[in-house]
Amino acid sequence: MFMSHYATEVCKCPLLGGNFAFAQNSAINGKVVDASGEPIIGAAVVVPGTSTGVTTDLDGNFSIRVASGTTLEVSCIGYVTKRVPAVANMVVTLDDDAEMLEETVVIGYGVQKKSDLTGAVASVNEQSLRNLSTADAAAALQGKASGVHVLTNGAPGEGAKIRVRGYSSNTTDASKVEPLYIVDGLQVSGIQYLDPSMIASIEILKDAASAAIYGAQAGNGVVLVTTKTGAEGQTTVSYTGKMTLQSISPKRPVMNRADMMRYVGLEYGDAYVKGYVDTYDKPNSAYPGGVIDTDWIDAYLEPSWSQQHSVSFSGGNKNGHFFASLNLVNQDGVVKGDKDVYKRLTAQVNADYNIFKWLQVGTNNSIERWSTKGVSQRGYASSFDSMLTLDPLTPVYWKTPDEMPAAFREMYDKVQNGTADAPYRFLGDENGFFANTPYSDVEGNPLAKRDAAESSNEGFNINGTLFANIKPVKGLTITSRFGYRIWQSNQHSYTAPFYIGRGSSDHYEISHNNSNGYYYQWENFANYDFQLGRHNFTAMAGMSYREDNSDNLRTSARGATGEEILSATDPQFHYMADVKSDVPKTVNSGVRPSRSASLAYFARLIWNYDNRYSLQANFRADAFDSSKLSKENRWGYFPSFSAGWTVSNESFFKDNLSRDIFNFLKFRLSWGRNGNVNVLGGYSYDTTLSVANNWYQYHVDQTGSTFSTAPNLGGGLPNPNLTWETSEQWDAGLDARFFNNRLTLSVDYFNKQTKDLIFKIDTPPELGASTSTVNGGRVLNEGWEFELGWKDTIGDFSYSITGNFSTLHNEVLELAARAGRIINTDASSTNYKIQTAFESGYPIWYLRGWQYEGMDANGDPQFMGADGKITTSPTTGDMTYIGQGTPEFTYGLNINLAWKGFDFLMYGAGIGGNSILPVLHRTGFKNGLKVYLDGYDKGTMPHPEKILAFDHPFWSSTGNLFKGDFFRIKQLQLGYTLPSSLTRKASISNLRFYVSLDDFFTLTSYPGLDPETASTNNTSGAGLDWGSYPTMRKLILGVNLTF
Amino acid sequence: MKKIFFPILLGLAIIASSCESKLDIPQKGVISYSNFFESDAQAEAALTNVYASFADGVASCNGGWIFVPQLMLLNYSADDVLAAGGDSEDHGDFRVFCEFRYDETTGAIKTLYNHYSQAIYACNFVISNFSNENREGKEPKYQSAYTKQAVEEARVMRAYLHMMMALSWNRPNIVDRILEGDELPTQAESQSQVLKWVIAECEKAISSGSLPERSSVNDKDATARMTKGFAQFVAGKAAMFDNDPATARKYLGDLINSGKYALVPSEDYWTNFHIDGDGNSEKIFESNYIEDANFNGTMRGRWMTADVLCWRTGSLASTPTVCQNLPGAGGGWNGGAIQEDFAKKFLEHDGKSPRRLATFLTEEEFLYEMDWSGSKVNDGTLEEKKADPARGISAATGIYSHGPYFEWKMMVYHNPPRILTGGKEGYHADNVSTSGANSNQKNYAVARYAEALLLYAEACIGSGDEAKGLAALQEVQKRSGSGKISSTLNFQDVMDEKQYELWFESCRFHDLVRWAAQGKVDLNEVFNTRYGGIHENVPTVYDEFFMEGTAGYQKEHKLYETHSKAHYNKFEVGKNEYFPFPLDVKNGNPNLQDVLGWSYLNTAPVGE
Repeated sequence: MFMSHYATEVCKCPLLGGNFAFAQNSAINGKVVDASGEPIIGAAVVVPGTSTGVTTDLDGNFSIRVASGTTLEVSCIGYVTKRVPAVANMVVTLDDDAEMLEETVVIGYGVQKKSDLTGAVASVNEQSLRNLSTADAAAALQGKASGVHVLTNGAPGEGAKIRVRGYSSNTTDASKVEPLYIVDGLQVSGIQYLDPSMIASIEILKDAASAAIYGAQAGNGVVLVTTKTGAEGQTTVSYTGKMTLQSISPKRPVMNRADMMRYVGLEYGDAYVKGYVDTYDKPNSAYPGGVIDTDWIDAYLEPSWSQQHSVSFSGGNKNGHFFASLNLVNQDGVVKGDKDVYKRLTAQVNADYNIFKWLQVGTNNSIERWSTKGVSQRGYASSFDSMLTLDPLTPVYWKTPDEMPAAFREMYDKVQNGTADAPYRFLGDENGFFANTPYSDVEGNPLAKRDAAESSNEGFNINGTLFANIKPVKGLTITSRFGYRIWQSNQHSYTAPFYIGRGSSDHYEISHNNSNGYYYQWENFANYDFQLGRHNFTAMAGMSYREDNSDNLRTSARGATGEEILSATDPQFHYMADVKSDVPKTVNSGVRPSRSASLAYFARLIWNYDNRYSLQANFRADAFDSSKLSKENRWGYFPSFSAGWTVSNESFFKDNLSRDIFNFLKFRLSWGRNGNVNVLGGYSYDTTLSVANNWYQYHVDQTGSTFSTAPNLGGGLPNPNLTWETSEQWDAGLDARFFNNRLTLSVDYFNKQTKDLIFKIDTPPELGASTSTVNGGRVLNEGWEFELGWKDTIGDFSYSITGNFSTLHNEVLELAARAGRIINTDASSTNYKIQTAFESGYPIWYLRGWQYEGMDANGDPQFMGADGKITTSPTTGDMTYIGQGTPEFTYGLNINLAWKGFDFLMYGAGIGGNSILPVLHRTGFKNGLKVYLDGYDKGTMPHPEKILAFDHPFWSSTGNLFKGDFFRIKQLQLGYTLPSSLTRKASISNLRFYVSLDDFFTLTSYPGLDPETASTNNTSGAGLDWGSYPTMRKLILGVNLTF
Repeated sequence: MKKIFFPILLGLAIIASSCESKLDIPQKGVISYSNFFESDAQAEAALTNVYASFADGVASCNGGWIFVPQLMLLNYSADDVLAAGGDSEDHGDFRVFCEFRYDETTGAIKTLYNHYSQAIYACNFVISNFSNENREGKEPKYQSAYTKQAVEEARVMRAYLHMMMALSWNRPNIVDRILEGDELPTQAESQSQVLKWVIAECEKAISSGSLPERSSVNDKDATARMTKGFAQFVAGKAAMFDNDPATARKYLGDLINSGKYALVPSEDYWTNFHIDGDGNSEKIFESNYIEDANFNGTMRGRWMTADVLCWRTGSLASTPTVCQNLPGAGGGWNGGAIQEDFAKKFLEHDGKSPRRLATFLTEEEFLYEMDWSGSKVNDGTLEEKKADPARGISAATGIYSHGPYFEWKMMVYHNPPRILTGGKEGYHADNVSTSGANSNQKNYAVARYAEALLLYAEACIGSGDEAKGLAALQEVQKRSGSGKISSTLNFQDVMDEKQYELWFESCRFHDLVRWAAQGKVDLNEVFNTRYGGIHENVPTVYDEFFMEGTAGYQKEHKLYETHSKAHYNKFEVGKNEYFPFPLDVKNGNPNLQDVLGWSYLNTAPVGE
């Protein structure tokens, strides 16, 4: 990658330190050099624990009056501090401190030394990403950096989502508030395709000043990923392999047979339960004592194995670098069978070469082939919803048709004798038919839901860049970089009629969706470093053009009841080509090729004086194409400014504070402006006519439709003044290091205000559309971020502990003029009344429900009314803030221990301050969370009869609200590296085995399946637990091998 | 030199690539206004949008609802339909209208208002662009005989929509042309102003000579669009609501005298509500829907209405054959029950008339004369049926809102029932198709000749045309098969006949409000005290056959009832006659004023 190996030639210790006091000894002369023998300028040479000391001169020489043999400590930022005895004409060689010196940070169109940063940039390096069990680079960031919240989903292949410094937008579309992802300079839509083992570093540009160089797309932060490159003089071949046993927590949040019968009995009376049980509950030899007590979680989920293999080759010399890696992921989730799988093969090839001294060319490419299959989750009638709500009285299997309840048997017989209206399948496996409940209208056995339809999704992506760095004169680097992405994906699905009672399908259906596209960007920019005395400047200017093209085709066919649509039903005929010629095929009419483009100019100036004062200014002008903004409104301007003051390089600091105690202190302050253009689109500023989007039939007895033309007002009344969301952010921070750099501390405060949100406001529907889209409103995200680390070595034992903690105060400050509280009823298909709302004075999409006030003398649940009076029948008007789905604080903890060949890693992540409201209670003979029965027994929850209906206010009140806080030990890993004396004989430079427990231990009070994935809903539905794929627990056995 | 060359090249490249014109990407799949309104084909496309808007917005459940808003607001607000569901907590979206506990935020009210408004906008899109009825009075770019017809059809549709809004909201806006983005619509001064305008618009369309006319009673296609006959119906109905029976007599009389409409025979009465009656001789206007495999017409086919308007089949011993394809055990949802006291009165009046039989079944008919899909004795003896475990109400919880009467007039028939077809073959299922067994492909009825006859009869009371009015009433009575024929024309007979004839046909609630305004009925009595208060005594019906401890347990089917009180509000006279304007609409248009008991909302702050 361009400039990722930014050479640092001069020690950044100040040239002129103060003169230390001299003791009465003869002078000992010496020289301090780096590993290559170059003199180190400005290194401190001191007698530890005293104020005696000097600094090296321009040639690295020093002279100090101490007794021969006195221990001297030689230190310089960027080098490992060394203690040596004083001898005449000594030469002290300081080794590079990899962690200090190498910590250059990618900042967008350039790099900067971490110590010079003036903005808030979180940097996660290779070490932190090593040996993670996740195959998703985004998930790897969880708990690693302050201010970065990672939302994961349990299901294989579902990418994690990153939120940087809060939640700024009122959009309900989670994809529109993602940060901008840049991999090796290439803008990508997500980083799921990257295996963490291919990554050299991830930088998150958190504050607006850092992100401003990306302008209108950087309002939600920027994630910069740098993939690995070959190192000079080191040729390695390495292999890492992992076998992962996945399982889920043994915790069972739902009721068993006895509990559920008791609960339903409390709801409807024991006679009701008896009525059902007498009718349907038959002894079943598959269960102990013949009593059916199905654990649907056990029935649906089972431990499964996944594999991950990676081979990489790297090497380099003065002229060039090479890195190639091949990575295979084969993940089969915990749902029984192979219907939830994620397979991925990724190849990464990075190479660069210095053709001339002044010309370097290179390319980074990744080729990804992926495929996924998934099961339905997180929604009404999904397989996970069935798993949690299905009664334990239904067996998993009916071994023979005789075990079927009457309605099923009736249909089964009809199918057998050919009188059914469709050739229904009765789904099952070698153990029998998947049984379905006769007790309720739950859409049945989750295994049947899993198998009812066949669908697969697969595709490939080719991402890459080609670049040239031209260095015509000293200090000037001109980069021209062409980036591209090509993708293609295919989705096939096929459903034959099946019978599961409610939710059955009586027709054949097939579909094939194909999508492909390409994206390219061309960026040209120049960086110029120059010095004027003690003034160091870096100037950068450039331009960028980006264009995104996609083209999709969606086709499907569907038969009438029972009508066969394929020429044959064997799997080799499950394609659109096999649809019979007389069956109508549908081509989705809404799909058209799409193109979008943007153009930007940008510039940056960094000024540094004497390593003490830094100023940085960024500017970007962005223009987007006419699908987003009108020609008059297309340009936007994004400036930012930041400043840094390295106090520890001031003489008053150095003169007065011992380096043993206080090594480094820097203050940072920044302000900047960014945009979020993702919320725009669809020509919403323009009025046009839609052709043939609707139809009417003028003939009563014969088909034949006439198409219509109508004003295109689907998005509301056009608004020619629309523009993007804009964020402005202040950041103040400090970085400090103590005790010979062993203790590090970083603190940031940020205040980010986002304005010009996109609101749909009401307009008179008489104008043709009942809404219009306008800009307005303000959202505040404000918080503190702390990172604290300690590392040390005691003999063979080295250890480090780092922790981060971030607070987030999120508040909607203002809505657009004429806009009222925006209400979403994400759980409405469950008939729950709970809302999420976007309203001034509250966190975004807060949970809006009733305040539960215990029970009255009759045991009826009571609620707080808007008038301050207690009521048992509250109205919508009494709904109020009851909690927020987004966390108020997030934190992470990393512990690394190493002793001889052993290493131990523990890392965990947690969130707090958020609430979860499960929407899993159902009426009738259905299962629910055990906590409701326990709550009744303890007297904290009403009698089930009182809260029978799922639209009862209780279910949407604080009575059914739980803390979403959790701390999860994401990884607990123990490794052992064989002694190199042993492995060298086999030409192995490194061989390490490890065992790891990932996501095994969770601290939470949440009574549902998993607090982590429960709250990862879409943006406006955060906090509502629908029954989601839980985070899998993983036992990993792994090996790392390097030749 | 080389080193200098490259930066220059790059600099040039930067300039070359900065071509801003690459950002001009025209929208695909749309055309601009300037290329339109220039041909008959384009006029037809714009007119088709009028019918499509009506079909999608007013006549179907498009917009995410599982019911048709007009059907629901108007019928559940009437005194003879009960929202049923599983229990008193179920189907709250319907119950709020039954129990008059909706408010300005109720979603269905907003949906209906918006869908009416959007359909009016579609009408104005034709009228303002193919005539000079636009903001500046600009002449159209193109005019022809066809564009004139299109304008008049749109005009009649617009009049009908305004009338419906006036009957539901009292003082809606009159929107007589396309409004521009900077305009606010103007609210009518009174309901009468709207109705008079409706009549004038219908007259304009009728007298233009451009409006299509039904060619004969057999002309089906004319029932699917705006015709002279429908314009006469709308003008006549609007006049009745404007308390102007003379004008009503004129238009309805013209409609009757045209000879283009006729009631179908008694035994075919039931087909009016099912697919075989689409476009029949007594239809004046129906929004047409036939399955076209080229479109996924789920919403147009009224998705889920089959479930909503079917009995609660999950509580039955097996699914009745009439609706046996409803997916799953959950099947029907028991959306709208016939109020039991009214059903009883209807039964007493009509006996086993084809009309009554098409409307609801009695206990015996339900248990023994109807086919049950799970039963092996559908052709068996009564004794066999009495002991048949595959029929009857099996749920221990019974069926809520039902007495021993089981409406099926508006149900979606998967198999036209033998009791109605008389065993005759060749009738069609109401849903055919790829849209799914829970949709309805029957046309959405808006105006039926029987309503025109009864409106006319009412308009004639006390006028010189009483004989003609009586004849109109008798025509309906004769056809019903009840055997009751009035010998004089009086209001009570017309009112009662209308309730029997047009149950669940969206006109009862508006009529009650109108009659109350004319002092003919007492709404407090109708809604709150008659039959001891409709919601004070909501029945639940059980079947002894399935109820342990009863005499018939596992021996013989016998229905029995219990009653319970539904909670919540009552009809508030002086308020619930009209709906409040939806809050969102008022947010967009602060000028809009609610009427009657809702007027307190006018002082509420707009927005926040």
